[in-house]
Amino acid sequence: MTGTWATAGESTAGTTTEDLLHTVVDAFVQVVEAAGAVIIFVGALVAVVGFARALPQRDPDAFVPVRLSLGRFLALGLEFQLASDVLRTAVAPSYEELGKLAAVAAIRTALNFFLAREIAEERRILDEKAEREETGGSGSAGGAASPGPRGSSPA
Amino acid sequence: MSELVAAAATAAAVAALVLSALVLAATRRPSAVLLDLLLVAGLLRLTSGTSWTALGAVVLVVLVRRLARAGIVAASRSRQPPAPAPA
Repeated sequence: MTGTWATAGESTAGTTTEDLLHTVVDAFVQVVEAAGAVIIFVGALVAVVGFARALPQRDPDAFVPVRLSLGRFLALGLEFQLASDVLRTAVAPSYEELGKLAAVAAIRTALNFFLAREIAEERRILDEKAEREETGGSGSAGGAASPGPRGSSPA
Repeated sequence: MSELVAAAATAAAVAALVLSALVLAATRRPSAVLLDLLLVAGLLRLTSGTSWTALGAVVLVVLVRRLARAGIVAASRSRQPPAPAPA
């Protein structure tokens, strides 16, 4: 009889602790995931304004810095969302939920990887353009008509 | 929160369509603006509750995006004039 009472008491204490853990981790997950979503949304707003500002120039290269900035925002937002995925693994109760978690984490990790590559590529394009302009500006006294030694920009 | 995120994702998708049309009209060239903002919409949708169908849709969108971006990059490279040979 005493053993039964002790087991029931331990079980109740265990359940209470687990519930508390669930509540705390769920709250953290909500906060971190919301922070990621806010960062992504702010990045989108900044990009929309940037695209709208670059539109009158009619130059495809003018969109590159805006895309670079958006990529940085997305990468940061993804980092936050990955952090929330990691937190969620602390209290994932079923294989179904674990499977979804793994899929979401895989998608976010892959996206982060591709975004990092795209950011590096866009940065290289910007550097090349700056270098071209610098070389063209110092190498030719004629001005804008000269394409410079490395050929003209596609724009 | 999920309604808010869904509304934000829809706004991003609408902005993607409108801006990409404007960019296409202004520059007469395909741009990755549409893909970038659609990716934003997809990431926001991934924030709220996920089903296997939604996950599959996001994977499909990411794959299509990669393919389209590869196409845009290849097209823009083919338009670049070759560098002049040294005299």
